[in-house]
Amino acid sequence: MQVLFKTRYEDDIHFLAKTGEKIRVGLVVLLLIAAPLFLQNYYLAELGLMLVYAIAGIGLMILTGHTGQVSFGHAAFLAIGAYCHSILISHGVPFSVSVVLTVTLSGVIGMLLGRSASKMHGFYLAIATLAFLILVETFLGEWEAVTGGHAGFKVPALKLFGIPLKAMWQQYYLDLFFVFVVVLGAANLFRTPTGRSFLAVRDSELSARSLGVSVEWVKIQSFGVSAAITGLAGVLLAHHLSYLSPEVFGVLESLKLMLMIVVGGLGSILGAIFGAILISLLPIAISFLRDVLPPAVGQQAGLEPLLFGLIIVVFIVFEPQGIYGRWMKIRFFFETFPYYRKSSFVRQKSYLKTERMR
Amino acid sequence: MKRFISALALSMILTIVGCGSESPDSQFPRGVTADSIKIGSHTDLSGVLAMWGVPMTNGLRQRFDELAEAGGVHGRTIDFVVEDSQYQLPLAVKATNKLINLDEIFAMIGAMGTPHNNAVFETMFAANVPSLFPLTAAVSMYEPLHPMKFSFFVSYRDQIRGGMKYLIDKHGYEKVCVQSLATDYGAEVAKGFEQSVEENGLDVVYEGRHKASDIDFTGTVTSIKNSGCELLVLGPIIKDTIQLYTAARNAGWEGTVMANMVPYLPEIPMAADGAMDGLYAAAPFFVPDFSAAIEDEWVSAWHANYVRKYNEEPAAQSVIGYVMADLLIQSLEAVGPDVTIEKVLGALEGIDRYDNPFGGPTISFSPQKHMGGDSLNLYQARDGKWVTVAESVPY
Repeated sequence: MQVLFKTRYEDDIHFLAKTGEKIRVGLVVLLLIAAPLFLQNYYLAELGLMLVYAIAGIGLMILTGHTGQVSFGHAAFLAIGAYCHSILISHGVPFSVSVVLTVTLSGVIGMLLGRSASKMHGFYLAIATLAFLILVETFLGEWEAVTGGHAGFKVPALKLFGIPLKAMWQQYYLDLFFVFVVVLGAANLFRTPTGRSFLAVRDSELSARSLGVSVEWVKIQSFGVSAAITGLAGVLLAHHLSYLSPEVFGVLESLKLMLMIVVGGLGSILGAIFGAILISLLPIAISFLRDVLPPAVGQQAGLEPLLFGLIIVVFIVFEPQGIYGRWMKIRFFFETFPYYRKSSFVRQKSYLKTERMR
Repeated sequence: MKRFISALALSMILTIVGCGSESPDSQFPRGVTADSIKIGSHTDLSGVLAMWGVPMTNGLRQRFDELAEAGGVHGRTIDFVVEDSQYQLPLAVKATNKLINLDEIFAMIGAMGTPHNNAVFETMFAANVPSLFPLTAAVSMYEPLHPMKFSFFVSYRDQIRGGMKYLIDKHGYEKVCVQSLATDYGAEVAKGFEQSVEENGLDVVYEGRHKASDIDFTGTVTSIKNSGCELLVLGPIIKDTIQLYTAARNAGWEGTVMANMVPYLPEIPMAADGAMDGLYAAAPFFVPDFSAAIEDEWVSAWHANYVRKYNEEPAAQSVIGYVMADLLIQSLEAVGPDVTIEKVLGALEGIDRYDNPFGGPTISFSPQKHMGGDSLNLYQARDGKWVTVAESVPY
């Protein structure tokens, strides 16, 4: 086990305190940057899409994992991001300007939703966000003059500062760049008072309020940040899909985002990334399952949503901390061998169940 | 932060250096070897429209397998790769990406879904992969004219126009109405309806839209009944066609109802114990009634083969898939052993009045006409079966 010996003030705020972490993250970053050298276009596109989902996952993670607010409507922000960006660039707005405008719009809409949802809890919040998703989907379908309605909307080709980015590796680097920005931004967020208050609200609204945190404002902020990041993912997703239709951003897509963060591990940025890797590999696993299972089961429509649901349930029952939690435990097991104890991961803090403030 | 900057710098360097990989030139075009041609497709094998995608794939595969047994076309067999899109746009994009970059297909055939095809056209054409006969009759499958876009079907829009014109000329309807699904498909039906209204100077008394999740049409039917509509044009899929039609008849409305090829399936007239009787469908193809004795010898043999191979009755899509594969094989035959994409598409454009072995309208292509059907057939549901009311209906 490595003992951290801090010699400078900067040591306190390092993202990656341990040497092992530094090596692992450094290797992953290097691999990601070098990926176009050894990956075929197909795998590169898949990897790019995975990065986009990682961004969306981080967006939802901030809201659900870090602030404790459930949202079944996050596909709506993917939709807002994708549509707003595509519409703007099709009217000749440059990519860089469009991204800024889209992220802002998405964030503002998120804050508005947060404003109306900030006093809701649990089921009510879940239903409210679901209703918001259906509203956005219907709205996109009906506003034909601008969104092309159900016939769909062609996303203009990707251009950055007037240079067309046609090759897959160029688009991949764009995705990668935004992943770096979002991961660093999110990691930084949780060292600021705002980010800390997110965590406080998640753990106990009553305690947070007692410490002078404005719970409603925190929720509005959290919705805003989360929606902005998800909107950014929508921008990148639009270029991967190259054609938008309102049905793409339905309940299943929201469920997919939820699955990502729950299975990845609520409350950690790494969890969102694990989740993104999982949902990229899941379709391959499902298509393999279909071949293995008897046709009566394997060829059923709707096997995918069923498996999504099942995986969420299994993780909530057996490993509430998700893949990230499991990974931590495994790592801890080896680092402290042979002193690993199950109780190391039993939560010490406990809060009163009753949080009634009205 | 330092690591981030160095990572960025490195990525910039790599971007400048660039790293595209070019496949080595061979004597054959992409997807073609001395003894095979790779053809790809993405369709719904396990999603909501699997009941269309699976029989379609079976039909295509049956023709390709027959070809292999017969020794191939100029010594080449078809290597048919199918990807499951589950009728989801992101998966269709992924599947196309795989087919083009990993499998390196020669052409795409029978890909399902309007947005799913529209989404991947640009990628496909950039890679010189033509789109042959997608399983959708959207106008965008052949308009605007593109050297690489070929559609098998007369569009949904023109099916509605053709069918409406025929019924109007025959019965002199003046008051018409439309009820369509709020999707890309419904929008096209509505478009055909609008064009027909304009061309024939009709009076629109009701226009309605519903969502796929709607199950109660009492309100819709009441509005239609009260509007005095004489001809109702339907743009729903299957379940809602049955629901709407039976609701209208239950409410005592006696007007004429017409749809396009989508409900033209053997299941529709059989649904609801004959309550579907009277429904018209305009379609650019004909599907033999496999449940009755088949008169045509060739069709009978085909049916027996299909049932033996897949252990299930063929659907309308199996028939369509088979014919699509046959059209491709015919063009490959015409090209000779020296295959290129330009030549195959040229041969396809040369197909004139292809006689569909299953019956129904003939199929022709030309450099200006990239859509197969030459005319429409109008069918009506009677006593649990589709009965041909009119043949060679122009559109």
